[in-house]
Amino acid sequence: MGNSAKAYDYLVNYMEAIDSFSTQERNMAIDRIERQLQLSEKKQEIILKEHLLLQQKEQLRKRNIWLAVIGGGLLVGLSLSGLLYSLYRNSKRKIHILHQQKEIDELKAMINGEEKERNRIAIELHDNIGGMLSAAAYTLGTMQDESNTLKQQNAFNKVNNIVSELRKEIRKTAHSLMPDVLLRHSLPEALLQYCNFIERDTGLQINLQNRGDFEHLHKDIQLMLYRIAQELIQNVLKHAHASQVMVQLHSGTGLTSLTVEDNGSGFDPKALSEGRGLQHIRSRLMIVDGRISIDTEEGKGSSIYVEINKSDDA
Amino acid sequence: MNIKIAIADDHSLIAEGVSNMLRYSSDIEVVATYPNGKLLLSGLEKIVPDILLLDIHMPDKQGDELAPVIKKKYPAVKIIALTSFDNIFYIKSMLQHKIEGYLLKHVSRETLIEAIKTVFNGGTFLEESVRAQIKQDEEITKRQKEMGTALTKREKEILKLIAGSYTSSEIAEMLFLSKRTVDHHRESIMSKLDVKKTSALVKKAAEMGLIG
Repeated sequence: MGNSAKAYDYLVNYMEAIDSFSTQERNMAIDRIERQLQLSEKKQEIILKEHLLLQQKEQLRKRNIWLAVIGGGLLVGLSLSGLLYSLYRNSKRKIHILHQQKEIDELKAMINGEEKERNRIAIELHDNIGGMLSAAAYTLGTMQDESNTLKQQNAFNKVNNIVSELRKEIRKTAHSLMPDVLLRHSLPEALLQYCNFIERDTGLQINLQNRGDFEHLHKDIQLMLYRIAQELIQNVLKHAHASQVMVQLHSGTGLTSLTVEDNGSGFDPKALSEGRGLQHIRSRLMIVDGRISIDTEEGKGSSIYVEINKSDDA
Repeated sequence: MNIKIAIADDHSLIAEGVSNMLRYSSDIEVVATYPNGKLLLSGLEKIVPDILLLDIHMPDKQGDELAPVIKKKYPAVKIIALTSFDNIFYIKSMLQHKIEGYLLKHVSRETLIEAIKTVFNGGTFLEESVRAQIKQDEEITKRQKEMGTALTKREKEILKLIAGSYTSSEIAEMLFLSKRTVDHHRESIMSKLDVKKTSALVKKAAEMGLIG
């Protein structure tokens, strides 16, 4: 019977072996399963993460699309409104420019008409009326020579004096209307003559300086600068109580300028900016894209500077 | 001997008036009157006067065009301008053609006759106011020369900044002007001080006591 005991042992061993084996096996299986489980969890996690990523990507993409759509829309909208606005602005500006141009044209026409009319009246006064008065004066002179009794008559002498005064006045008026020198000579010469005349007439010492070439300057510009100088000199005479005036004409590379500077009482530029004929000067300058600057202080004289752009057609 | 006079004037009343003034001078005779330059030139071919009283402002030709032509073709004819223009430019432009006299139309009979006789005897005659104009012109020209370098307020301001070695752009910004305007003033200052370069300008301005 020793065998049966042995067999039992084997059995036990076997059983144990099986047991242990199966335990081992189970453990291993569990292990494996667990590992598999872990793996799949990780996979799951990865998948989840991937999914999340995808989702995020998708969101991002959607957002981007939205952004693109909104942005594009905005851009289109903006550029459209910009276009519309600029169209609007442009047309407004065009209208403004047209208005300005119209204003300038009207001013130009007015001033041209004014100048033509002045010219016509000046010639009429100087040549025709002045000529007739001269003829009348000669005849009066001849009458005087022919009759000695006439010389002693007060009324005759009175008429004689009136005629001679009238001739002086007419010459003066004609000259201030239109300087004939300007019609046939250049601006510096005409202005010099005007300054000499003022100096003789009023005692105001005027120093005129000319620089540059005025021959090629358009006659209209010359006439305008002459008028402005006249206006400014008259202002000095009327208001400044000055003893000296400097008048400077300068025809430079890109600009033509006029400076009238006096040593008189000066004025408050704000208070008088609309008066003193300055408004008239400003509107004349507007036509030719010119500028005026006034430097004055009460008690310290004044210096007025006018500049006009040089161009071929101006 | 009679002094033969021709009158050129587009106003017939003037020509007539002047003729009348001379009527009672026994030694002066008006031989012809012309209403314009063209008829004057053709008339001179037939009658050559001793003295021509010439209006310098006729519709077809100006006195300063006619004078040299007549002087060249008829050197013996003496010319007295008789005009209502007493400004220095006409006076100068006529006198440069070596005419003998310059009278204004408000001339008195005595002066007219005096002028004719003086010129006939080889002299020249300028009316008093014409002489005064020439004198004033000379005085002013002289004064202008002395005043030649006077700078305007703005120019003085800019000169000081140039001397402080500021550029035109900087000066423009400081004075609220355009660069073009500053350059324009600079041009004027350089021309007044008769220099070509900025360095020379500053030096000369310092010498003249214009800066500092």
